[in-house]
Amino acid sequence: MRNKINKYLLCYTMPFGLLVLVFLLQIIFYDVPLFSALNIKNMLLQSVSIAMTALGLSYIMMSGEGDLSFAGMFSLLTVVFAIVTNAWSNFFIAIIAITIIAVGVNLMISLLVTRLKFSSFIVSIAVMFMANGIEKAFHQQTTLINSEVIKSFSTIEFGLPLVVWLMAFVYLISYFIINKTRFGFNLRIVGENKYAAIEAGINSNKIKVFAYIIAGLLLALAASVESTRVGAIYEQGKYYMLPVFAACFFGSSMFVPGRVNVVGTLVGALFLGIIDNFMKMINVESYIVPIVQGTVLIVSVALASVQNRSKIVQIKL
Amino acid sequence: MTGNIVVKIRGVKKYFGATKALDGVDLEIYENEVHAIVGSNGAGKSTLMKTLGGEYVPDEGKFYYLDEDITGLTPFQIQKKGIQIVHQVLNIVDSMSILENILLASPPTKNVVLDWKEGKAKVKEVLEFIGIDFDLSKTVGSLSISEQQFVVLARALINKPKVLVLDEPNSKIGLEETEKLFAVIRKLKAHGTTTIYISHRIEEIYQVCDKISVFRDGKCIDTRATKDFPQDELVTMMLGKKLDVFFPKANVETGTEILKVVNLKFKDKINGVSFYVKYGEIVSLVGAVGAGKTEIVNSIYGILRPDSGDILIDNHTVFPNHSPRKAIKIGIALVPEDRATQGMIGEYTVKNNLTAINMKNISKNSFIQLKKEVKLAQELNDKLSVTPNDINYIIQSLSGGNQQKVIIGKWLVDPYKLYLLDEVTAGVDIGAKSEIYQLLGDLAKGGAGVVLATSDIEEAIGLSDKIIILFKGKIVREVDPKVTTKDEILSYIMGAEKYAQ
Amino acid sequence: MKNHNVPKSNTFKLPMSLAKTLAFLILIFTVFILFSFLTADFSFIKIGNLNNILADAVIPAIFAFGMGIIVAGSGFDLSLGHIASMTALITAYLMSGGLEFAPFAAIMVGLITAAGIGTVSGLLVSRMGISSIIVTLGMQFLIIGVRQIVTGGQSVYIKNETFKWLATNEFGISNLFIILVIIGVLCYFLMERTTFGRKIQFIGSNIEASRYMGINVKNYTMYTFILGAVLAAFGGILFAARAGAVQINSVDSKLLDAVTIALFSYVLFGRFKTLGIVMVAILISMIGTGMSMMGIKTEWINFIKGLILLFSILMEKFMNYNTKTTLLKKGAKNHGR
Repeated sequence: MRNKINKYLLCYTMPFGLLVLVFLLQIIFYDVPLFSALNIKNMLLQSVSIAMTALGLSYIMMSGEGDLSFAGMFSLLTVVFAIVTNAWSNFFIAIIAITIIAVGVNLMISLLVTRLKFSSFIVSIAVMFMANGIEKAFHQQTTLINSEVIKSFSTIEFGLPLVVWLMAFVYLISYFIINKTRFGFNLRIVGENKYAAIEAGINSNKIKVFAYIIAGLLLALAASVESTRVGAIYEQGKYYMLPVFAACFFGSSMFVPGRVNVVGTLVGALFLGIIDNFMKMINVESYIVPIVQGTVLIVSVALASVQNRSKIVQIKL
Repeated sequence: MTGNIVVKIRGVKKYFGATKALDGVDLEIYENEVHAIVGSNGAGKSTLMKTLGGEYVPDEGKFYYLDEDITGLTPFQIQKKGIQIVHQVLNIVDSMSILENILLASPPTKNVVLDWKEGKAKVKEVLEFIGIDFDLSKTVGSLSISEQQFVVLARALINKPKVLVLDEPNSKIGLEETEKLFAVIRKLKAHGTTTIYISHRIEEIYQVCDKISVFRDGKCIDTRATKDFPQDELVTMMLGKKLDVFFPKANVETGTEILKVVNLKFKDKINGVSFYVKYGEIVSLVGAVGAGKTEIVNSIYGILRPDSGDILIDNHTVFPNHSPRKAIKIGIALVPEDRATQGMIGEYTVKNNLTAINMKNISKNSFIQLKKEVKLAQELNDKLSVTPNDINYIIQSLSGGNQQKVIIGKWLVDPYKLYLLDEVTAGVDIGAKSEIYQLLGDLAKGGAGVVLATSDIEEAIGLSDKIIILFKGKIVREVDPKVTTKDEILSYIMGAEKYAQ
Repeated sequence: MKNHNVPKSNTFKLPMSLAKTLAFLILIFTVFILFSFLTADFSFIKIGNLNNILADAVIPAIFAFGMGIIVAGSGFDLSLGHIASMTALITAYLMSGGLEFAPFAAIMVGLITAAGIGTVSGLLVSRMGISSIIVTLGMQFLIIGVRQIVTGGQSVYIKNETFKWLATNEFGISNLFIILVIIGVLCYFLMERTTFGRKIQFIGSNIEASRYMGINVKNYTMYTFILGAVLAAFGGILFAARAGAVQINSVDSKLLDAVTIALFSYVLFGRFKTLGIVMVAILISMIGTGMSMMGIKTEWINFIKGLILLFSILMEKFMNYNTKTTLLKKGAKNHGR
């Protein structure tokens, strides 16, 4: 019984702990304007695409599967976005194009996982490599977005940049879907106890496919946002991989013990954004960044797994 | 008993590899009755219910509900028809609330949005019916197992099923809650619901059931009204023929104490257990599911760490730092309860499984000598008459009895001081059973101590020198098999707490 | 989905394994013929080219040995490529002007570093119960950061001729291949002929039963990661010897090859089979070389390798459909709990 109390304590105090940590950082580095309006705006802006991708991954993880393909897919999508906008000077066609690709690929993965019982991790790794390969093939072509109109899109503001509102919007909708609709309810059941899902008469396969499709939509959105902000990203995909994963795992140790959840992922993504922003502000050497990210991932998972009584997790093919 | 037949089962067969879990089941359940299904471990009770419920598809045979063929329908469809099953293993969602778990299959929605308020009324109604009060917002993960059992029961009852199946409902709840459960069953009967009640606990069955069907070896042997079924006849039928012809009669001289267990405690599974075993002695630990037998032998073997107490082998304590590896080194062998997941490396060959703990016998400086391995494995296979006699056979393709022989076989290469066997004849056919009994007798004859954890009373009486009866983690009594009777032991197993020492 | 009531005659007789080996050899041969026709002037068959193919297969094969050992224990390692890069960097750096380590010493330091990384990963997986995918993912990033510190982003050029000799053609056939044979033989004995390897395979197949049999699953799981890291390190060192220079991220991409080869072989033979890995490595190398000789760009070759990976998993599902279907379901006690 004591274990259970501890579990709940940790997951509710953690977010406050993070807040305290941030304040501490500000105090220690008092000359760095962490809380200035401009800085906060920047920090949010930089976190948007990671937060959105993490949200998509959260859907997949809530359904009980894992995914690494977004690492390769993300940069590929930004490249495609750039190519399409340069060719047609039309923002919307580009979004539609990458949405179709992202959803299509995720749909294929979900079918392989649900119908053919492939291990989701392995399949997603294969897709990640494939996406990497394709992306390199387009390497030669122009990838910076020519159109000024498109580029300026990222600067539209209503107090906060448009894309930040977009991020808030998708998170709000997702919170609603996951916690207030039947689909979300079923999704959480499928991910937590697949036998309970059978007994409740839930079609797990259908749920998982939907989760993957939603993840694809979010990934496309994230790639669009990032493309309008910085243009195409070569081979940076794998650097995006870690914060996205970390956000989800970090989130799983908050608010709902041991389960990936919407608010947790948001807090995780923002926290990582703050750390990232902070590191830039104090001008750390670039090599510190991945070290911090790697450590955060491992520590956050370790915290979550402390409750698991440390049984060895095996990857079954 | 007049009335309509609600569920009809005809010739249902279900195989898992070479294991015949269901071997032609014929059964009729009448409307409005409380129908018990009894049988020992591996007799097929749970498998039948899982097949009825749609989780498994039968290889042969049919299920009928109110004359409608429901064979092969999905679990959801079966539930829609009005058949609800409360499984032995509670499938709940820990992180969700009681309210959500009860309404797992039918969350109330208004348009697309979940509307729990509407569901609350329904849930309160069911809980009142059951006679239990819950704070609906608590998460199910924080409840005790007994409480969780009632949550699952509520879930089954919320859609007012016509047929309710309860698979070992009492294995997780205490005496008071058992009374509550019986009250619910009686209420249900008054309301027109049919209940199928699967259990080991014979006393309870006599309290609440109208009819009893006996299962053995995957078949339904007999069905009678409870009042026409005297208890001893029931027990005999459950366990099969008298087996004393299969039990080796041996007068073995016992030696000093090989094993001494002192005040062993582990959570609420072992509550202060002390006993001893001598060299050459066969001691049975008898009890129902959940009595603590497995936890005790696992503690002796070092794979489970008890909270307190001591275990002495040859008067030396095994603590601290006990482990299976150490156990093997000091001469303790264990045949675990769950063959498939704990006893064997299923995907590998008989040969590999036989040599798994005998690697020093077949290797030199850690290099495995294949010829030695083959020789050793073949010798064991011959000695145990494993069928088919092929050391390169994949072990999971063997029948249960042969699998068990191989699992035991590996422990026969070197002489061990103490053999621990947990439900060693569960799901094993008669022929293999008697061979195993012979083996155990030989082991004792050879001077080793043998601890047999079993829920099979016949076996305990036929084989052992001493029987230790367990109930809920406590030793209720130690009896002498020569003097005791099945009924006496049965009554102790079933929870005669009043008999506790 | 109906379950089958008769066990498929699955006797693991020697002929079965032999049959698969022969079948695969035939496959290699067929692909070989295919490419001979597809390339201009049968240039595929030239001796120099053949030697190239063999040499190209060496480093991926060694990586695959490492990955294969980890996979045999039912683990996974995403950081092998980065470990190899790191080791190559350290070794090259130590030998370069300024420090002038002897090649042997430099290699030793590199291998020890790799072993250290493997130990950390292994500990996190075995003691803390964190999924190996997460651990090695995090490790990847830690390495990316750390190696930046070591080299400051600069490429390192190797001038030491003794070191580079490792990759030359001393005896008509590339030295690399000889090294592969040596390492292959060692792996063969370790994994297929010793109690050590047997225990790892047991753990990979049924960790619970292995525990009951007195196998120290925590330690052995950790060992797989150490071995994997060391073998990857070897791969990195040989890569450095061959290339003569090491960029900060040159070996990262070898992960794909390692995973593809290791999984393909594991799926085909059901266990760690040294010969299997070597054959698959040669096949993949042949496909890679052949395709590039046909003028296909490298990027598409990578794409195809990913496809092969998917295909090999498909094969696994197909081949094991009958034997693994819920045979153990009856014994499985705890559905979900």
